[in-house]
Formats: sequence, structure tokens, C-alpha cells
Amino acid sequence: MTQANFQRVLGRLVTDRDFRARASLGAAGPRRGLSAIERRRLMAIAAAPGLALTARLIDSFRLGKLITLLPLTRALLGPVRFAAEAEAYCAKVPPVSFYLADEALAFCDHLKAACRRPYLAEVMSYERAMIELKRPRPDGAARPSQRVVFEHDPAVLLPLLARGERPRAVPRRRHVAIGFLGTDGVDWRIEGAFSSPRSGEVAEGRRGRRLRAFRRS
Amino acid sequence: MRSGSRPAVRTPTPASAGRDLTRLQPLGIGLGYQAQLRDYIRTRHDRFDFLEVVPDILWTDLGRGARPRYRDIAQDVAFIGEVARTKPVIPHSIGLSIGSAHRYEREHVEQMARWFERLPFAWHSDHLAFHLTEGSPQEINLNLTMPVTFDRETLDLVTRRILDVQRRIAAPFLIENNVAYFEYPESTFDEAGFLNALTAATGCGLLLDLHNLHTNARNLGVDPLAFLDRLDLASVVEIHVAGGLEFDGFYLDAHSGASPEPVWTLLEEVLPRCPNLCGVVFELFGSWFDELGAEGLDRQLGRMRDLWARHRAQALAA
Repeated sequence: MTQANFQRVLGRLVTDRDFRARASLGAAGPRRGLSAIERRRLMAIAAAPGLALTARLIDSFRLGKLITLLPLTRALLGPVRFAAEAEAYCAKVPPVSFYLADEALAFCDHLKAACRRPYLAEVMSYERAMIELKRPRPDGAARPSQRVVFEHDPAVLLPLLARGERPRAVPRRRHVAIGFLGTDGVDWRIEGAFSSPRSGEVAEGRRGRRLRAFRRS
Repeated sequence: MRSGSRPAVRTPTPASAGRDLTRLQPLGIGLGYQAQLRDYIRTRHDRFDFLEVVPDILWTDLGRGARPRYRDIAQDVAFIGEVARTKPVIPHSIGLSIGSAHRYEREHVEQMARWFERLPFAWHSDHLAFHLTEGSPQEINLNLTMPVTFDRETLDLVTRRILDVQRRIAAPFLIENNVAYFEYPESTFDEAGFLNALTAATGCGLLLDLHNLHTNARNLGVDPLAFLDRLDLASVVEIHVAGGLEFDGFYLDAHSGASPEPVWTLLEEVLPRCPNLCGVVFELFGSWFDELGAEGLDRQLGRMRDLWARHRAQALAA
């Protein structure tokens, strides 16, 4: 099984920056469970610029997935901070799937612990809820509705972010939104006034009334 | 995919499955499917003869142990089913991780076998690479096709897996030469020698990615003509061409636009020398389509078609 160990170490070299840095200096040369030729191969490539590039390509691919599923969170943090957080996340959490949803949810966990910023918790909760509602599930698995608590008026906050603008001084206005997957996409049952971040169209509603205006397909 | 739709491609018989590449019918010029190309595919379907699709993007993998594990993405599957009524569709997988030492994605093989029943394809392919490694606490999926070592141990490993794929799916299986940005020292084989040994041991075909070869030439100093001289070109069933970009001192296999001139030169070089070639496919990531444009894509496919027409007669005569 030394080949499996070889690939395991190689995988660590392209996903663990600190390990790669130590290995490239010869300070943390992999030893156990490897043949002599495998050790020489790993030591030879540890400092290769192409290996570092491979690691960057893996991180870029993961960043692309996060940008796809968390556009409002990215708009809130700004692309530079978002990319920096993604880099920190990638350094801490190795990739485990090609698919987008798992990666985005794990990144939300990272952001929740790593980042404090006005509006972030509610925006991230909203995008997280959208992912949970839309992700495919095994046969028979429940698809629970999602509850998002907004502390600021989402009718102002979300359209701003959808246009790529950074929100400032959004009025505090508590809303509880319940999202569920309908036959034609995600619907939200909300309290108070709400609007679509895509169209900016505002729909008035009363507490507990089902509204269809707030939808992202 | 509509199971009742009439397949546009010939269903391979068991006798032609797996090893007899000479019985495959040439398809011509292919285009790699991306969701952003749907309008192009609908409106300019006369520009290409078949559609290649990475099947992994047509479903979501719910993970090992989930039943069903693979959940179709309805919109993409419906579109591919629609195309398949008029044109052959060829799957080009990324999910097998055929070079992983600890295991390969056997459930992906079963999924492809199910797809073969729904949409009989003339051949299918994946990369000579691995992306799954053991990890703690979870298995790692590197999200990138990592190069394998060219030695006897890997040859034996990949040979067993290809034979397994061939036993399960009654359509020829092709393996693609990979792109790499670093090289392992002390290899037993060069890449062409390794691919030749693999095709000899299994009877599998080759998907010769000329842009991968060009990228390896740029970054690793591989001599592409020497590679082609060494390679058993009778095993080549399909060719890929694509474009890339410069980044941080490297040339990337980015599928980001028009093929560079050296790739066209390689295509001209190799087309007359592949007697069993059935198709040449242009690969473009969908996010680059706006930049290349429909006319730009027309030009790529048109140039491929011209070369195909000019050189195929020569190849068949030889």
C-alpha cells in the first residue's frame, strides 16, 4: 500500500500549505509507509513551482464554487476579503467533493467562526438556506423548510447586494422568513414587506402570508 | 435523458465492445457541452457532428452510501436527451479516479453502465489521472486530475481498472493523456511508452489531448513531435483541441478560448497518422464563451472541419 501512502502525501502537499512549505525545505520530509523511490519523488517535487501552481489551481477551483453559490456573501465582504477567507478556509479544510453545495456550506461554517461584519450573519443564513432548499437529496429524505432571521430590512439589504453594492446604514427591521421549495423554485413565507433582490419588485404582505415575490431560481 | 428516445449512434455489439477500435464509425467534429453553449448548440448545430459531454456535470453525487447516489440535474439531462435525438452524444468522464491507489470510483462505472442503457454511446473515456486520496478523517477529492507515476505498479493498477470498466460497459473505453505542471523523477516509462503499454495490455483506445500535450511541452519541456512519434497512433480514437492562457510563468490548460497555432500544427501532423480516429473535439469552458463568441467558436470548428476533410482521406488510404 505504499502507493496509496504516496498519493496521500502528494494530496497533502497540494492542499496543506504549511506542510508543503516544510517539505520543500526538507524539514518535514515524509518518511513512513513510503518506498525509497517514492520518498525521493516527493522530496524532488515538494519545492517545484509546478506543485505550488497545482495547489493554487485546486484552491481556485474551490473559490469558483464558493463564488457561484454565495454571491451575496461575496458582495458583502468584497472580492478581496472573500478570496482571503476562501484561502484561509482552503488551507484549513481539505476538499472532499467536486460538488458545490457541500463546499459552500462548509465555507459558511468557516466564515461564521472567522468573520464578524454587519449583516454577514443574516446574508449568509439566507444563502445557506437557499443551498439547503435546492440541493439534491436521496430518495425519501426530508427537505425541511428553512428559517432565516433578518435583523435588517431584507427588502433594502438583499437588492443592494444583488446589484453588487455594499450596504450602509440599512434600517434595523426584524423579519423572520421561512423558505421552502415549491413546484416552481424557492418560495418564502415572510413577515412584513419584502422584495426580490433580482427585480427589486416589492411585494407587500402580512404576517404569515405566503408570498411569491421573493424568489431566486 | 429520455429512455424512449431513439439513439442517434449505433449501439455497439458485444463483439465490438472494449477492444476492437477498428469497427468504430468516424463521427467527425465534436463540441464539448457546457450549459452556456446551449443556445449555440441549438442554433448552430450544423457546425459540429457530435456532442461530447462530461457526464459528471449532469448529475449531483450525493456521496458514498446515498441511494441513489447520483441525482440527475433535470435541465441538463433533458437538454442532452434532446440533442441525442439528432446527434451522437459521447461521454467524457472526470469521475473515475482510475489511478487512485486505494480505490477507484467503481460506482461511477455502474452509473455509466446505466447511462449506456439509456443512451447507447459509441465510446466513452476518462483521464489517466487520480483525484481521490486517503485522508483523515475523510477521503480527499483533490478536484483536479493529478498525474500518475509512470511505473510498473501504476501500469498494473490502471490495467486492472480498465479491464474492469471494459467488462462492465459494452462500449470501447478511451484513456486521455493528462496535463501536469510537475514531473515525477525516476520514471520507468516515458508518457508515450506508458500509454502504449496500457493500450497493449487492455486494448483500450486513446483520447489524445493535443492541448494537454502542448501544455506539457510549454511547462515541462516535453517534445510533442517525439511524443507523437513514440505513441501508438493506431489506438487514437479521439482528439481534443482547446486553448489556454499564461499565468504566473506557466501556460495553463484553461480551455479559455481559441486553440493556439502549435496545437493546430500538431493536429495537422497527427490527423493523417491515426487510422482509427473517429472524432476531433473542441473544448471550451462555458465561462469563456462570451469572450470567444459564437463567430469565434464557428471559426474553431470550421478550421477543425477543414483539416478533418483534408486529412481523413489520406489517413484512410494509408
